[in-house]
Amino acid sequence: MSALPDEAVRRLRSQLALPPLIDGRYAPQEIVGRGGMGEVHRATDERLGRTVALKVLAADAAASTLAERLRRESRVLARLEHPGIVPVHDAGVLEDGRAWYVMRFVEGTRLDDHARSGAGRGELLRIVLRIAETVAFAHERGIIHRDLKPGNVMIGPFGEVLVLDWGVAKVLAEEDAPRSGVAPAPMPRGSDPLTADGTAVGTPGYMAPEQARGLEVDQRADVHALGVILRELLAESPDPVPKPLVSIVTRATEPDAPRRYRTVAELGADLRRWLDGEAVLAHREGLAERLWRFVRRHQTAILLLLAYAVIRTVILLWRGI
Amino acid sequence: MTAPLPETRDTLVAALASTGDEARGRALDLIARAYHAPVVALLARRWQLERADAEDLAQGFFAQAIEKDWFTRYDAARGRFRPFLRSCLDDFARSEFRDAGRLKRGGGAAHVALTEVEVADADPGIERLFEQEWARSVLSLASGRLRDECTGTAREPAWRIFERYDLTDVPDDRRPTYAMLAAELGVPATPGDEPPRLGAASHARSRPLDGPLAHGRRDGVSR
Repeated sequence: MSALPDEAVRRLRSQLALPPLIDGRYAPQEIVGRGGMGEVHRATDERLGRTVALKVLAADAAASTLAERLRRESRVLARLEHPGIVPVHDAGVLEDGRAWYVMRFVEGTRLDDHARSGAGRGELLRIVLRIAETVAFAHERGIIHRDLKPGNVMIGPFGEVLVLDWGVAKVLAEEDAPRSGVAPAPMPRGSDPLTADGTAVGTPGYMAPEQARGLEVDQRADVHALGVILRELLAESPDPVPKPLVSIVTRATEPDAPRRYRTVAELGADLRRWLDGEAVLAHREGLAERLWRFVRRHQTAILLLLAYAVIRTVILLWRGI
Repeated sequence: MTAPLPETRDTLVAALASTGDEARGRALDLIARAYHAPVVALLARRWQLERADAEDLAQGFFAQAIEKDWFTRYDAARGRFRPFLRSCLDDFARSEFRDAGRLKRGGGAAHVALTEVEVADADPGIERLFEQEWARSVLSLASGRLRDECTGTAREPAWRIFERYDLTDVPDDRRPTYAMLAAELGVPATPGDEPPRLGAASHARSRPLDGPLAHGRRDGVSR
C-alpha cells in the first residue's frame, strides 16, 4: 500500500489515543475535550445504548499525582448528587494503569462564552446564584472545589448550570466539615496529597491569597473565586455596576479571609437580596440609596399611585375651571 | 493531536536475536520495511542529501546493519528501539562521511562540514520528521495488510468504509458521514449514530495496530 497522506496519518494517530472499549461496555467515539489531567471522550454505553462522557487520564500520567486526582474527582462526584453537578455512572482503571470514569454527557456552553454571547446582567447574576447553591451543597458535605472559574462552569441546553472539574477538590476532615444533617460517604481523607508539598492548586487570578501561598484553605477560598467570577461577569455589561453589587464583590474577594463572607451560601443570600430589591449585608446604604431602592422595589405601586394622583389632580383642576 | 508512538514489540526484538534464520530474517525484513521511509527522510534532512543519495545511503545502512548484526545488540532494558536505531544510523552516517572526508550537498555541488551537521542535531524538527515518517510507514504497512485480509471476505465492506472514512486526505469537516457511506455501500445503519454493522469499521480502525507487525505484542504499534 502506498504511503498514507498526512491527513490520514493525523487521523489514525489521533485514534490511537482513544482508549480501548472499556470493560466491553464503553466505546469511545471522539475526543471532545482535553486538559492537563486527561481527555474527555464522547463514548457509547453499549449496554444501555446511550451516549456518555468518558474521562480518561492522559497516557503518560498513569503513575502521577494526576492519577490520584482523577480517582479523587470520581469519588467526589459520586458523593455529590445535585442538579448542578454532573453525575458519575461508573469508574475503573485501564489495563495500562490509566484511571477513567464515565459521567453523563452534557453539551453546553462555558460560562465565559455564554457571558460574551450577550446574556443580560440579571441572567448572569442568577447563574452565579445557581453556582453558589451548588458549591454550598458541596460545602455542606465537606468538599471545597478550589478551582472555580468560568471555564469550569457549563450552561446546559436547558439552562442548567453545571459546576465541573472537581479534580482538585479538597475533602475536609470530619471535624472540619460544616455541620449538616447529611452523613458523607466513606472516602480517604485526612492529609491532602495534592498539596502535601505546599504547592498551590487552583487557577491564578481566581485563587484566594491563602490558596495561592499553598496554605490551608476552607470554604472561603471558594467564596473568593466566586467573587472573582461575579466581578468578571459584571464587567461584561457596559452599564455602570450598582454599588451594592460592587460591595458584594469586594466582600467576597477580600484578601483577608476572615473579612470575606463566611460561606458561599452567605454570598448567594446577599446576591438574592439584591435581586429581590432588598438591602444587601455587604453594603451600608445612604438615605438616597435606600430611597432609590424603595422606589425600585415598589415601582409598580408607586407608578399606580402617581398615576392616580395625576388623574385626581387633573379632575380637580377641571372642575375648578 | 497525535498519540505517542508505541514501543517496538519485545517479540520482534527477541526474533532478531533468535538463532532461527526464518524468524530472524522475517524480523529484519519487517524492521527494514517499517523504518526505510523514516530513515530516508531523516538522512535527506539532516545530512542535506538529495532523495536518491539518501535512498542509497539508507540501503547501505540496512545492509550493513544486517550484515554486522547491529540490531541484535539492542537491549530492551536500556531503552526504546527507535532511539537505538537512530543512534546506529547516526554512527553509520558519520562514519560514511568521515571516510569520504566530506559531505555532499546537492549531488556533490557543495560541501558541508561535520560541525554544521552537529548543529542540525539540535533541530527538533528532525525528531518530529522521523517520528512522523515512522508513523506514516507503520500505519501504511498496517493498512495494506488489513486491506489484504479483508478483500474478498465478508469484512470487505468494513474495509471500504474504513478506507473512505479514515484513510482519505480530506479534512474531517469534508468527509462523508458513516450514514452516507453506509447508504453508498448498502450497509444497514442506525440513524444518528455509528451503525452497529459498521462496528466492524470501528474494529478495522484499530486493526492497523495489529497489522503488519502482528508477530508479537511489541513489535510495532500497540495500544
